Amino acid sequence: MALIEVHNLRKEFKKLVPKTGFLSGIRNLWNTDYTSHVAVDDISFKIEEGELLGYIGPNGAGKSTSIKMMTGILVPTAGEISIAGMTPWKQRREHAQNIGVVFGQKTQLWWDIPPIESYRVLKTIYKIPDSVYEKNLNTFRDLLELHEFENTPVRQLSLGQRMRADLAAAMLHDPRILFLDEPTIGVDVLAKERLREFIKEINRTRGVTILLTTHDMADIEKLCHRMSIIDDGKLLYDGSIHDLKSRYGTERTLVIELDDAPYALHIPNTRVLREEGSRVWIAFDKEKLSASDVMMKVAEKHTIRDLTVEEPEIESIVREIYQSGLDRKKEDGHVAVLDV
Amino acid sequence: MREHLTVYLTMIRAAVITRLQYRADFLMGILGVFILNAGTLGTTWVLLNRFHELNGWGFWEIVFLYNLWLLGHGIRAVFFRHVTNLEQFILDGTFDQLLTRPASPLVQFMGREIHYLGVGDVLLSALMIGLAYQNLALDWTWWMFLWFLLVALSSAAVELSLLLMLSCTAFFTTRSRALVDAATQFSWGVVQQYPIDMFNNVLRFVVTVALPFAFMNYYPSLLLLGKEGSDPFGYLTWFTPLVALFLLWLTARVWNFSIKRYQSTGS
Repeated sequence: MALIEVHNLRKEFKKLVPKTGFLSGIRNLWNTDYTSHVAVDDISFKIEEGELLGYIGPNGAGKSTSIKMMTGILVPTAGEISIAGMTPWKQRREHAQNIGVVFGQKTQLWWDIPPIESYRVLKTIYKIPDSVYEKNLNTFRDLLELHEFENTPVRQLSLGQRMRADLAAAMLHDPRILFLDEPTIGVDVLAKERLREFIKEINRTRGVTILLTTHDMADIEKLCHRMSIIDDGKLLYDGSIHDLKSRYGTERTLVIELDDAPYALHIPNTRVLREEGSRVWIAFDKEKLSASDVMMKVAEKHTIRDLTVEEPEIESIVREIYQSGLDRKKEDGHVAVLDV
Repeated sequence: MREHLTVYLTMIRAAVITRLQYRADFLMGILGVFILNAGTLGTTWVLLNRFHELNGWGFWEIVFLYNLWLLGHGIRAVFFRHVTNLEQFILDGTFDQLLTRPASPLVQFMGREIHYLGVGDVLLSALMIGLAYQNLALDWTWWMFLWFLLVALSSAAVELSLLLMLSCTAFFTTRSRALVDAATQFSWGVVQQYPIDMFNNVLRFVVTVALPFAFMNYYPSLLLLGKEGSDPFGYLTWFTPLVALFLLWLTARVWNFSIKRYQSTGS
């Protein structure tokens, strides 16, 4: 049995249509105008112990809602979740002992006091033995350089420092599973790099299973082997990043620098993406043409001074998948699961 | 139970450290309370100077009534001022975080903050109750003093329970502030400084049964001031601690029920 098993998970929200105007706050008490919205629609997946899964999707796709169900905050409308043999919302406390949670948008540390004081509270709440607490704290002091700011009130920390402090807080009680909801949001490049190193390190050396959501595809590429794409509550892709690239990312771009201005570059099965001076970007499908085919065609009429082949970035693949989801929605009035 | 207490005390420690960051607030808070309450008492004094008594209650009796309310309110405000802010805790996601931790959400929420403002209330009301005691030439036995302490805690518990139960509507509608503010205003306007037997039966029913704020000061005062005979319902004065206990129990039930609803609706 996998460490995390999610079966046919579904979450439907009834949203109150709020009343406005005179005494609206009080009139809302017996307001019964609801609209229904399916945030998570029949999702199933498994995560093995020690995996580092990237969980991505556009805003409002259902990522946070699924995380809230996996962390025991919300109860699903239908479906099952089993994490380390437990049902999060039924065995909320035992489950909480097993997991660490970081919400990038919202610190779990006490805002006005230094991180080290927050850690003390967490030590009591999670009943962390002194020896484990000291050992972990020292490890994180090394890995995250906590000592630089552990005695500074959280409100005075930079976003990167705050996120480091939050990661340490989530790891103090040696959780088996870590949920990271946008841990790199708003953080500068250097700080991001440091956070990624830490995430990679605890996954590798401690065998912590990690579920990570992010909008930064570089996080995914640098950290995860596997990723799930969710949109409109449905799972669009679940598999390795390598497969994703070879399945969807068959388009290559040839960047050629010519001696003269580009003209008459009408090569079948290609498209000219961009021209800039004597440089031209030609896109082609590597399943249909090879780079040398394209090059030869160009060389018939021009002298080539320089050329490179660009692979698509995961970001553009993902954008394409979101887009195809959107197009399908427009066509059918609903979204079908991609055939993967 | 011991576990709850440990978690609560650890959280209170963090809350105290938080407050210590803002020392200036402390003095300003206490000063503000004195000015605010001097204003209220001043109005009462002017009123009573003109009419000499209010439905059989003299000036110092009204002072006692008002300050017993203030004492309960102050104790509540020191430790549980933030209960009326539950709506904000839910909206900004702080509440969700409490649910990801292996401890009772209620205990965690209760221990989240403490506030100086209530300290001023407690000091001032203790002082004024002392003055009223002298001026009314009260002569309590030792068990009456114990009863007074119990009643003061009950007063705090009554306010805490009522406000927290009303705040729980935030779990259903996300907006609870309007309702809680209305109730607070009601408590201030009606119960705080008037002997409620001067009101009609409807209003009296409301503050005794529906929103029993009258157990913060009016009913307990009857016994403490030896006036339990002046009101046909005067015997209710004996029930003050029981009412408080019942309300606390009811609040825990309402809280648990609301959280269950919140987890399944996520509103």
